[in-house]
Amino acid sequence: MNIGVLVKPVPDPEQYNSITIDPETKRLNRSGVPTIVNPSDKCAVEAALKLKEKFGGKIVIFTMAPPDGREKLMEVLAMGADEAVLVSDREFGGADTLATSYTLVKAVEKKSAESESFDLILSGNESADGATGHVPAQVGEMLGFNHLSAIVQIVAEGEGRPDSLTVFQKIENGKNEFEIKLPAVIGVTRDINKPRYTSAMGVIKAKKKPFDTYDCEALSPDKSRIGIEGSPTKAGAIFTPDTGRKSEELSGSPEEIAEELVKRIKAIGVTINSGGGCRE
Amino acid sequence: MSNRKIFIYAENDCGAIENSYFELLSKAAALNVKLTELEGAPAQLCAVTVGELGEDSLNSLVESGTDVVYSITDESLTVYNPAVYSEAVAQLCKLEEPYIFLFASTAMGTELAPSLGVKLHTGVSAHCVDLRFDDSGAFIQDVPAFGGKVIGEILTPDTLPQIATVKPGIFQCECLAAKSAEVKKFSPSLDSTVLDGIVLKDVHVKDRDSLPVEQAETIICGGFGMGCDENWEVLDRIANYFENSAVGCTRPALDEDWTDDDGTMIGTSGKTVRPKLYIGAGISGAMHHVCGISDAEFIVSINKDENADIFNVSDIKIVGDAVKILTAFEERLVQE
Amino acid sequence: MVDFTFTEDQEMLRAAFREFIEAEIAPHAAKWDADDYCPVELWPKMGEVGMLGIFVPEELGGAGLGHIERVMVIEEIARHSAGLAIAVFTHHLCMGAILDGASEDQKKKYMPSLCDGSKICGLAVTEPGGGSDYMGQKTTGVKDGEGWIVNGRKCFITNGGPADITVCTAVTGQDDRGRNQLSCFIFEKEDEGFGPGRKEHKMGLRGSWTGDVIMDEVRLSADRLMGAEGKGAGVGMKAIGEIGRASMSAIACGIIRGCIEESVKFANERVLYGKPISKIQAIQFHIAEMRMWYEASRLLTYRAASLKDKGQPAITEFAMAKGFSVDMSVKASQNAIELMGGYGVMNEYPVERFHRDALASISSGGTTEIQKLIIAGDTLRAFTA
Repeated sequence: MNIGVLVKPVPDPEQYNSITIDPETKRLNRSGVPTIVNPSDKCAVEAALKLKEKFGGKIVIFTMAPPDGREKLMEVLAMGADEAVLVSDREFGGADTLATSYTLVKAVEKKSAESESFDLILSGNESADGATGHVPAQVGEMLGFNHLSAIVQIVAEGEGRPDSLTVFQKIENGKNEFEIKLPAVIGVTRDINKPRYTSAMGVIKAKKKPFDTYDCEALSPDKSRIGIEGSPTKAGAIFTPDTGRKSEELSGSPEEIAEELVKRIKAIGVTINSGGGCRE
Repeated sequence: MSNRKIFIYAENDCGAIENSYFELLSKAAALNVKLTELEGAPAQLCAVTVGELGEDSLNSLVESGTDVVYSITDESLTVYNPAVYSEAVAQLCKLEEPYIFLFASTAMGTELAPSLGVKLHTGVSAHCVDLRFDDSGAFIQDVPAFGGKVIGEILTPDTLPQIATVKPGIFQCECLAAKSAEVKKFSPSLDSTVLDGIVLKDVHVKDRDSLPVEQAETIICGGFGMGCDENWEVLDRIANYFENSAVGCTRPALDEDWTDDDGTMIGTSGKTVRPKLYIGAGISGAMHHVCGISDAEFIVSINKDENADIFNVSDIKIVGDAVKILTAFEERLVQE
Repeated sequence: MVDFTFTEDQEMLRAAFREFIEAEIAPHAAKWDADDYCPVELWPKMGEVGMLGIFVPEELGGAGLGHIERVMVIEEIARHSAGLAIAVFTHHLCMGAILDGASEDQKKKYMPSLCDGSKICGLAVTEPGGGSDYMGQKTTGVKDGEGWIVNGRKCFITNGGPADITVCTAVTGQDDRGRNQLSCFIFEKEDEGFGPGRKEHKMGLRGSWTGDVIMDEVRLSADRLMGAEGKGAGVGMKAIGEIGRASMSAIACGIIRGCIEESVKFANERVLYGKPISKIQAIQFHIAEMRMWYEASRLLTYRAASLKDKGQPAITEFAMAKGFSVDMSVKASQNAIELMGGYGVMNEYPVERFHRDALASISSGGTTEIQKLIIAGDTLRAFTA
């Protein structure tokens, strides 16, 4: 089973509190925030490793990132992936999810043409920074593969390379159980597994594994579909939501306070379920 | 009325309409006011629903205040299949050329919207927290990034429809003036290659265990001010009303044995949490607890000491007996 | 020229170990200290990520890396749990002695299971007479046909309780000038007459088992003699001098780093007179001192490890690193306590534990005075004009 995994380096979500916007330039200041492999992408790598342990085959990691993305790819190779492809070119910069998906698809197609085709493309369901969750669906659409997002469990039964997988998708009130035919693109959430630790032996092997860098020329994409030009969405201003704590006092009788509190809770987008049936 | 159409996806949950539709419709109506100012005429508001609806549900759509209801039906659409659904909706869009298409960022919405973006070669914004027109008529979609630390404006200036998914619960439901919408049936043509790639085998409705506090989106946390063992249970009952919720505790509550789960202790020597909503009851605000909650999006604190430190780091301050307030709160939640 | 940077692989290793340690060790460190519990169940996990066999050749089940990487493992563990760090380094210590002194057959027999963590090991040298009177030890090994009978009591032995395999030194004879000759023996947990005695209650470095190991008429077959008869003194001494002291230095570096991290966090969060105390110069001085001590300790420690990796003698370098960095860890943890005021002595915060760990590190691998004797000996020779 040949598996491609889409991986994105992101600023460490544990430190998003120290991300600020420069009041002068209105640019994002994320200095001092380390870059890590997007957490759910690591889960996708783990899911791929588990499938490989069962069915054999190889795992190729794809990242679209600036040249220093190499470092994060090494980390994933150290986890046990077999090959890595860094998709990197200034012309790819500023891409929205549609242009990113297109560029990644070009890379996946190039790799498929060069060696074997992929049975499965895995990806974290969403990146910690932008968190759109679009890429798995859009890559799936463009490759013409079946695709599902928000997968929390992959069941692969039987021996030999399967024709389809049984997967469980997280929905509001439970899970959808789907059978999805291969080839497919699957976006996994962090619930799916706990990624393995990288071992010292893995680190030593990482550097010896095949590593390709694809630039714009290598992919020969339709230039109207990459980078800022190829992105139908454009970024406008950025701002920080007012997070100062107001310590606003609610007063009145306990009943009045409760009434107001319910209103405030709804206003911040937290859902209250009727009947209190959310938990056992 | 102009030829512009604002599509709103009305999620069909086993024949019933998801509440998120009404939130989106309310927002669309508000957007229409601004659009009327700018363009001289309002856009058409159109509900889009896929699969058979019960009569009551269809009526609730027809009378929701929208102008048109597009009902997409086909025998292949009785069961949810994202590939088939997105193909069907895309065909309708190609025919009707909507200006804007709104989805709730539910599991279904977040799957359909990006697929549609590819099929229609247009932009999609995700998990919007606000939508508006500026004075030039540009449709601005505010999206959160970096866990909500930053909000960015997204525009889709050159392609249509401008697709956005919106966090459920962000917009309030307003009652719109009732009118009877025109129902337009649409039958997509779906070939077999789309049909059998993905099959929904089963739907498992969850019976959930309590979540680890660090993963919870809502935390009800009790401290020394809860007073005794028996009072503790109200925390659990309240947590039951919230999705992805958990009960947390402080060191003193743990020491008093009101809870025996030391994995739920929040603070320097316990867990650091970052829920959307944190309600702290009977907590004074010792620094080693406060450190663990500073990343919470919204903090509500209840304490009988009006000078308690916890209030300095709270969005909402409630001075009073924690148990009394929580009891009233629970009684109010029952009415939801 | 001198290059003070780690390689890309070393940085990746550190990041990988950090991830493991932050998930599997950091959250439990306070409890292990409180309960004085050695988390033996972690050994297989540490084995899997390669922490145990980090410096052991690949053909024996290790990662085939060097002492710099080994020191890195210990420093990273000690950032959160100096107690576990000492247990892990004692495991390394015994492995180092086996690598140095054992036959190929013995290495093949013991090393793989020590690398993968299915077995725990320790090195037993110190006796009630004191660790530094190394040659004056009382444990005896007497020829018994082809094999040996060993009698004696070792004390302050880390991993003495949980160890499956223990390498011990014993007096097996005298040279022609009447001086003791030591030999090393490999003991297995099941050997009759061999086993742990009393467990000590330590002020710090808790979470590692320290206590007596007793040998009462233990009969060993000939294949348990490690290295040549009478040549065991060097093996034990070298392990202690290079692995033991390197590790104590690394533990001290870890403690200092832990102190800095906790202090910075506290100073940024603690608000006094309307602003975080990190804005106060007196607090900044405390932090700056700790940083200097940390960097200097680290330079000494990693330099000594790099000499060892190059195959050069590093006894003096490790003595300097150990003596200095442990002294600094005591000062740094005191600084951290002072900086945090009342909070510093509460067990809600780890710095009081760090202080106890730092104090308990003074004697392990020889006190600072012992290190000074080694350093002075070398200096008096090497600096003769």
